[in-house]
Amino acid sequence: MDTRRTPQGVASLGTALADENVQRPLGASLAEDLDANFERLVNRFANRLFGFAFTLTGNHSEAEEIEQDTFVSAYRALQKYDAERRRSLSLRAWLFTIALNKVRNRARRPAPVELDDGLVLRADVLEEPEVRAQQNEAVAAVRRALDGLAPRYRMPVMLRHIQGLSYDEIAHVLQQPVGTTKANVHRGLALLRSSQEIGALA
Amino acid sequence: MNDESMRVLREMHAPQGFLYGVLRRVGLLDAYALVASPVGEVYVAAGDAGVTAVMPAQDAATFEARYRARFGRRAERRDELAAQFEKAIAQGRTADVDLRECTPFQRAVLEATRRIAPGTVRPYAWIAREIGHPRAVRAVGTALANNPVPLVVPCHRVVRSDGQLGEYALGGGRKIDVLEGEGVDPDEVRRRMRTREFWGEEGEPSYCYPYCFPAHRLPERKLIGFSSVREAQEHGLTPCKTCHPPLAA
Repeated sequence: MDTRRTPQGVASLGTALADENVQRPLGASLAEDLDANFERLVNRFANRLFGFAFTLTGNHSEAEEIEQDTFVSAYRALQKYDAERRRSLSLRAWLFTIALNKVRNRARRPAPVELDDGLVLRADVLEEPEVRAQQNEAVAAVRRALDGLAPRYRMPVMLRHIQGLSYDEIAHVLQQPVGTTKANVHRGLALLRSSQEIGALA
Repeated sequence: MNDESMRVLREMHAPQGFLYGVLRRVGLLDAYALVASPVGEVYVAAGDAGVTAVMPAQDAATFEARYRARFGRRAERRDELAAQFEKAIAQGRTADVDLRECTPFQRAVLEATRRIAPGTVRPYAWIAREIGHPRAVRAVGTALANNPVPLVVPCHRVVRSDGQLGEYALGGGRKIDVLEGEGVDPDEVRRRMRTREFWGEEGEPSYCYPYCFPAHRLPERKLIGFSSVREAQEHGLTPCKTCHPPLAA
């Protein structure tokens, strides 16, 4: 479980993020020069967002596509934002919000049609098969466990305990009051524990 | 949901090449490879929209520095793309090219140049007429000399009105090699351009500029030369729909 300190007390929506101090330099850099610093943004959040998309979709290549789309949308949005807005963004919560929307939009539409016109510059690098198998197994296990939870608990538990987001960030992503978020995380976790105990007894 | 699967999930990495893919899609990073071409090995670069550059350079570092200076973006070496780039050079007209760094005038020149069929040539003045700036012949020459994607956009097929080959973006001496590689006989082209204003093909209903015919496919005996449009029209011929000669003198 996440052992990092989280802010106490009820904060208003989208403010006082736990790791704002860590993020501020990047936000300021993006405000100054988006093109020169966008690579840093991708490097900082790519792994966590990938785990998130992978858990939600259960599919490696779909997760990769969703995450690519997420960063491309982020870049286009940042291009339109002025320096002040870039500086004040809660980057992590903002990126998770975009990713979640991508997952939801994808779930709504039929299977994508692959367009292949002209140059395809994809870098097809295969990963170690054991690593891939281990990842698939972990994702499947987590999905099985979360599947037993009601939808309103699933996302808060996942964002808090797998992705390590703060309550404020989760509230921001899910667009709900922080109090609701906290209650759902605690309740969801309790349900998860009791179901696992029942599973162990059976 | 045991501790082990939580650990694996937390330590999960985005797939290899992920950063490259994202930066490429937003246009912050292009890819390049060293490619065999009719003028020897050249560096070819492309972004998502198509080929951006065809450039000879003494080594990869020199190419990367020049690329960055000219386009303001980084290019990353991807040798696995060499085959696709070779295909782009071979396709020429149908390959995707990215000309957004060019001025609207240069883009118009390059688009008109793309319509010249392999094995045929056009004078600079023809390009100038085609893009609606008949007097900008010299500017056409400059635009072609700075063609960012020679070979893919076939600037080697544009020659002087007297039939001399003229300048070339990849070096004047190489122009004849590329043209001959396509079956063009520069001497024959020059001879036709100097002897008659217009030519028709026996049994065909249209007359053309002397450079319209692929020099390697039509033996001289099948062509009829005309000194003026009037003469061609007296033979009952109409203007060619590819090279657009004038209707009346």
